[in-house]
Amino acid sequence: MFVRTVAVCLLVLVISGCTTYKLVPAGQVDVEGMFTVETPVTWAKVPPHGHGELWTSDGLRLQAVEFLPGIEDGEPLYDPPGDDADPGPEFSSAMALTEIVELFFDTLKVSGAENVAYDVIQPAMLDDTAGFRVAFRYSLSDGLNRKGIVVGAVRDDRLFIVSYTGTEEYYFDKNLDAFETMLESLKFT
Amino acid sequence: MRFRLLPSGTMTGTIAGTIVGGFLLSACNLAKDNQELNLSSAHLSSDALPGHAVVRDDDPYRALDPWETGYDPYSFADIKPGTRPDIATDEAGLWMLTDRMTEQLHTAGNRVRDEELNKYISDLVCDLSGPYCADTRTFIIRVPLFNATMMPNGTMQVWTGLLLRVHNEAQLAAVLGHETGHFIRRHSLQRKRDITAKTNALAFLGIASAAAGVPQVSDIAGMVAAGTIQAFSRDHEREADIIGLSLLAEAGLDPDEGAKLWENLVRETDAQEDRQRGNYFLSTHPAGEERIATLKTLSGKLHEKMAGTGYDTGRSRYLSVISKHRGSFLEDEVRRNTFETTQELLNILYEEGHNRAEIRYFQGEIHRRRGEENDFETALEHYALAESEGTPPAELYRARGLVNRRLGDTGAAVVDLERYLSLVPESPERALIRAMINDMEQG
Repeated sequence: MFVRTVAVCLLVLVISGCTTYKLVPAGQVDVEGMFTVETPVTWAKVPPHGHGELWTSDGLRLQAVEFLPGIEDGEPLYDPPGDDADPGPEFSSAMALTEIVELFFDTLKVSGAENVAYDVIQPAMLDDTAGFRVAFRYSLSDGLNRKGIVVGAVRDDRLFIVSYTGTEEYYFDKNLDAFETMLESLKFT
Repeated sequence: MRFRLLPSGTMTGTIAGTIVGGFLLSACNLAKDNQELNLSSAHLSSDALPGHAVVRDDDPYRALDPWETGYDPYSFADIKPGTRPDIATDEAGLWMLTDRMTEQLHTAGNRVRDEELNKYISDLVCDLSGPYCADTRTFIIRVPLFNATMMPNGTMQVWTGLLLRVHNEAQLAAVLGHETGHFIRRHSLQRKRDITAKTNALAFLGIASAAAGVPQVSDIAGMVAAGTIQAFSRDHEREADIIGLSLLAEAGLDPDEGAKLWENLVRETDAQEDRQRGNYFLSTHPAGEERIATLKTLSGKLHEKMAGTGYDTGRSRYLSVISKHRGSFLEDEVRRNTFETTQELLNILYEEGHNRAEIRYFQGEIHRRRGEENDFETALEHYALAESEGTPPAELYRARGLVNRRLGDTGAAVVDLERYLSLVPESPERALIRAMINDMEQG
């Protein structure tokens, strides 16, 4: 998720000389064998680090799609690199949706996002599973303002989160339609 | 991102902090010497620059200085108010670097911009620093750790974790005055020159700096980045403490509060098994107990010298400004996921006495969020105490509703969540909570 963007961005910059981005072509894409989405545009998949998948079109600092599929009981949403780094708060399958939203934003804040604010949280469907959707805003520590949308649901006691974030100016809006298309097309496998 | 890498004079040391413990109490004479203590602002004027190495009979700090080291290899005078270093000097290089960092602070995402709070802190720094007021600027940064730093160019940062932990204006002033002391005495420059001298000597002897454990210091930026400039010596810290308490007393605030603040910090950190992780500040000041003893000695001398002067802790003034922010600072603290130290901090704040209902709520929250065995039951106990001890935050009813739901008491959960929605009808969670209530009622 974009929650990792700050840390992963730096990590990717450091190691970019020796890792390979993968092209995600337009069309149907399988995400970690757990669901498929239809993307109308191409993306670059960031080399994997930890949980889920991270896609971008213009660079992680500008916009990012994040898939966190199948988080299990006791797992955090964000597990920073390094033995000494504290992982974020953990998911529990007993959580109500409002607690999962709290988990998401707590994780966002401990990963370094500032001035986090969100709109009304709406019930939403992720494929055939009832969940939530919320739009939000935050800043990076250097003052760059970003916007985001996150959708989440619990299915078979596992948490699925899909998020899209981008800079407040231009890049969030640039691929927003593509993200909405992918959300609509998401099918659990 | 946390402002740990900014170069500064810092009371807390740095990431690469090399502060050598606290103060060693000298076996020598601790009694006051024969000098009259001049605590008027004259000693901060441009006409009176009590350089540490310039041993003057009228040096006002001598009366507070139980140690007679007499050693200051750089013979540093205080910085003069309203001046900048000559462009051709190494000091100007430090200022240039920190000027750039100051620019970044203006747009930092975690800068607290509340006007009232910023004005309060800035005004206090001004009151303490006297003629140096125009030379300093203060930024409040949202980081839930105890820290304050001063850059060589007069830029001070105060972290919100510090504002959460000080109980009154005197305790805050003890820190701000200490940092001002680093600025006035140009400790960053002293440190930089000390390191340069050491590394030059090592190079001359053909010993690689890195091999000897000394960071590469080929340029100012490198030194700053290595954090070495921030690592003040024991003498620097002592001097800053003396200056800080003097400024505090001159402002009519109680110098006893300096030691009390440290006692609370040590107590909080001692609650954590892994002391290094428990408190960033104390991880670079392992001898907190010695410093407490020193501060008590210093404040005792000040009370003697200013007998008859009424001191104020400034508690009301401080609380009137900080109260509306404390809830969000406590949220940041709870989110740190450092159960033992947060619990002890909450105990300390509860004992202090301000808004105990709010503290009880957060005592419940650390249990709810941890969610281990019996935590939900303990959270309920704290929420009940919060209700009995005042008016708790409305969020208590949301939290208790969630806990009751987890414990299977859907009847109580519905009551609490309905109460929460009545208190916060515009909550962004209202749709989700309403859906949850409907689900529970339909059973």
